[in-house]
Amino acid sequence: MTEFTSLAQLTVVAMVPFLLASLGTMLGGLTGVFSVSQEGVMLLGASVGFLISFATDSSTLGILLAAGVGAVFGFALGWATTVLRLDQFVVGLALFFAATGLAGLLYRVVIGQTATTPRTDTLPRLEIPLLSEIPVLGRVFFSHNALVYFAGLLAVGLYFFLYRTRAGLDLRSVGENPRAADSLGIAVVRTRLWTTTAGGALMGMAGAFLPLVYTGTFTEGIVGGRGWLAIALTFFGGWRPQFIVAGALFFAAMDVIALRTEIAGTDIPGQVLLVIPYVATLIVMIFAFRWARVPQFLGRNYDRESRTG
Amino acid sequence: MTGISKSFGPVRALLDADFELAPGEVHGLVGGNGAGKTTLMNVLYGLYRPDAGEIRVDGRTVQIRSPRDAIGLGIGMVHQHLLQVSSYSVVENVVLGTSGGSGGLRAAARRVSELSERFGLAVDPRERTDRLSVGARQRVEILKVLYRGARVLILDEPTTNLTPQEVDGLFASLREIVAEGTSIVFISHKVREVLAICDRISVMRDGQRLTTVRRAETDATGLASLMVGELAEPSSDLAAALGLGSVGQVAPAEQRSGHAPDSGAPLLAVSGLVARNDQGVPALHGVDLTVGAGEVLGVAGVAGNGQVELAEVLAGVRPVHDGDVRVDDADLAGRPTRRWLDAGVAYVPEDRHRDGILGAASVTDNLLLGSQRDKAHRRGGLIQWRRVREHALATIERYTIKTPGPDAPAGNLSGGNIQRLILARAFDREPSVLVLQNPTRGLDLRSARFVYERVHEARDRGCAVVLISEDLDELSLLADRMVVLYSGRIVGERRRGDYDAYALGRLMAGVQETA
Repeated sequence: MTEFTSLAQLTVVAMVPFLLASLGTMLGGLTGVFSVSQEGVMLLGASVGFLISFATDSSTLGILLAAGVGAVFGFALGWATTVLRLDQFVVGLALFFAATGLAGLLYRVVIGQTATTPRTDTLPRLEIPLLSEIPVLGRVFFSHNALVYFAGLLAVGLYFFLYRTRAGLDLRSVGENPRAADSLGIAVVRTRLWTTTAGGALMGMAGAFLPLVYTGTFTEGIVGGRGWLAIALTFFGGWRPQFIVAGALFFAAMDVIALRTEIAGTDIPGQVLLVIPYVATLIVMIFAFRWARVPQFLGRNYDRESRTG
Repeated sequence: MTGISKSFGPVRALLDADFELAPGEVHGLVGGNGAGKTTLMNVLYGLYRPDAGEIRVDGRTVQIRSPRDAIGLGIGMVHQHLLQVSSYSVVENVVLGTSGGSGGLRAAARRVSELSERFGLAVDPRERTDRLSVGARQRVEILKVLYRGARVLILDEPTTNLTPQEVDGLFASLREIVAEGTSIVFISHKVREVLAICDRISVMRDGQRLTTVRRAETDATGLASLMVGELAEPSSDLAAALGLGSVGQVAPAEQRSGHAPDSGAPLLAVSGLVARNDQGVPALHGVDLTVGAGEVLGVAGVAGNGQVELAEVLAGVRPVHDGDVRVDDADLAGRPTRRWLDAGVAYVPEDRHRDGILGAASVTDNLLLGSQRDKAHRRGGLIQWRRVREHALATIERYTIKTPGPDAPAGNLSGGNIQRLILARAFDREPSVLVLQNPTRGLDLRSARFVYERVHEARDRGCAVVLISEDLDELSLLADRMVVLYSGRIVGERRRGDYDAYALGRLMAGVQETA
């Protein structure tokens, strides 16, 4: 395998947590609910995913439960901001702290202090018959674990659902102009609830990906800012799946290159290399914000009987 | 609809209102701002849940909990503020919420074209809505309703931003729609348009339906006076309370206790004023006004003819598009609001809850607003809260503001007390120009009297007062001079002693003045 192929393959893998978390953010955002708890929900997803997989030897169950816990947090955000009409940012921050705390707590309660780091098996690689035989492309795209395929299919599926179906049209209208949507009989609250719930599930899954694919173990720093980057990425992608995929690839490539350069051993200090993704983000964001389209009602709650908004 | 009541917090928008719509008629719903027309129709459309009341469709009692229910009953509504997703195409906006429907967007686009042809609602279904003119977007809204096969079409102030040609086109389309058996509710406060299109007209005032008249039985003057309150109607208890003689009679100038408007240079001079409304459409087309020190200028007119824009421009909170606004001969157009405040402009806005106070902030904070930079209230960059508080307590007492305390949120006060707070704040700055819009709407007699007394006080202190009101009683009581605003222009002027309800009514209805 050439250096390029292996880098490309790693990039595709590294893309998944970004992609899942960002698609989750996008889903809620398209109906107007802006989440800021990705980092926490991902950590919780990592913790739950690892613990379940460790205890039951079933990584599938781990992933599903991580998604379930994420869904609960997503639902909480949706419920607090629609039914209770609390401030989205404040609720999101509170959920971030709650999820972060819970993640560490669960690990300590279940595992406690151990001399050796507990490990669980990472997800098996599923070679797609025939397609994985294609030179280069087969390695890069069709020789991964199930979550990678899932993330890719999800991005494509969401694109078709959101931009090619009537239901997608209805969904997006809730984030663009909820009053117009409401006046046409679209259930604003219900739409917001299910998108934030599904979004939360994707964030939890993104978190579970980290121990179950990368490390096989859980540490409290495992998410490492990927949740925050997912927010930036969603803006960068203009809240559209096709551009979010592109953005996720960019961030993942930064991640991989930083790691590779560090391992290869250069004179540049490792800390500087680790900063690369963030600096790249800053630069890209400055340009991306100029053209990025944001849902008109992003971050704003809707009150049918309010006479002003 | 019978016995419909609806309150928003302390504001009572509808009180035991009723309304009846016959099949195949155009029913005008008229009344001033805040009369409850839109609220009543929002209840019918399921956007507001009524506190009490019953709605029957085809004789059967129905529960309308959301627009979805209303649409299911064949009711459609075109809101004054067009409810469209501006980044969507016309056809996307039209099909929104009908995802159960069969066929793709192409089929829908064909149906939209077909409808637009049949009813003369020309619009390109593929165009993005934010590239359309206001008139075309209006047509899209109507198409939305027709696409859902509605039997009842509610139009809320549909002509607000339309050109006269577009209004004619709209009316032609509406006639086609009615001809196919659909009923139309036409909410408006433009008398001439209502008379042009409606079969029956219901007049609303203070959250109730006052009366319903057939088109054939009324005319512009009659309708205008129903809307604003006839001068002949004796609200003389108010006048008596103020010791100003009965209203409706022409109040002799001598009654004004030797007061004569200053004949010197005008304190407030407006010339060639052009301003736009929130939709960016010109709402004032070259208004000229002068107000002298110690003079009360009344601005009469049916709501929606540029009053809000005029008030906001004069208060310095809406940009002047063209023309001059001079206070004491200093041109303030384009200057920051702070400059206007420093020049002595004080503003009592029409929507006191939204524009007059910070509802969640305390009474003290609200009294301080605007004066926070005053030397009296600060030392260096810090606000002297103890002094501010003492001042607030004194003000509360002097203006008899009923509040649980200086720290209570201002939004919890009653309308009358909020108005007292706003007036107290305005007077605290010893203004040289005072702009008031509908200052007594929704107030009880005592609070209204309080407002009138303050206006007199301001006048006597040599303040230039601009009183924009829809209430002719109020205007004839207070104004030294009255101008009539119609379609963003001053169409007539009357001096005290020459107030004639019918002449003013004709001006307000847009009937050209002859002789």
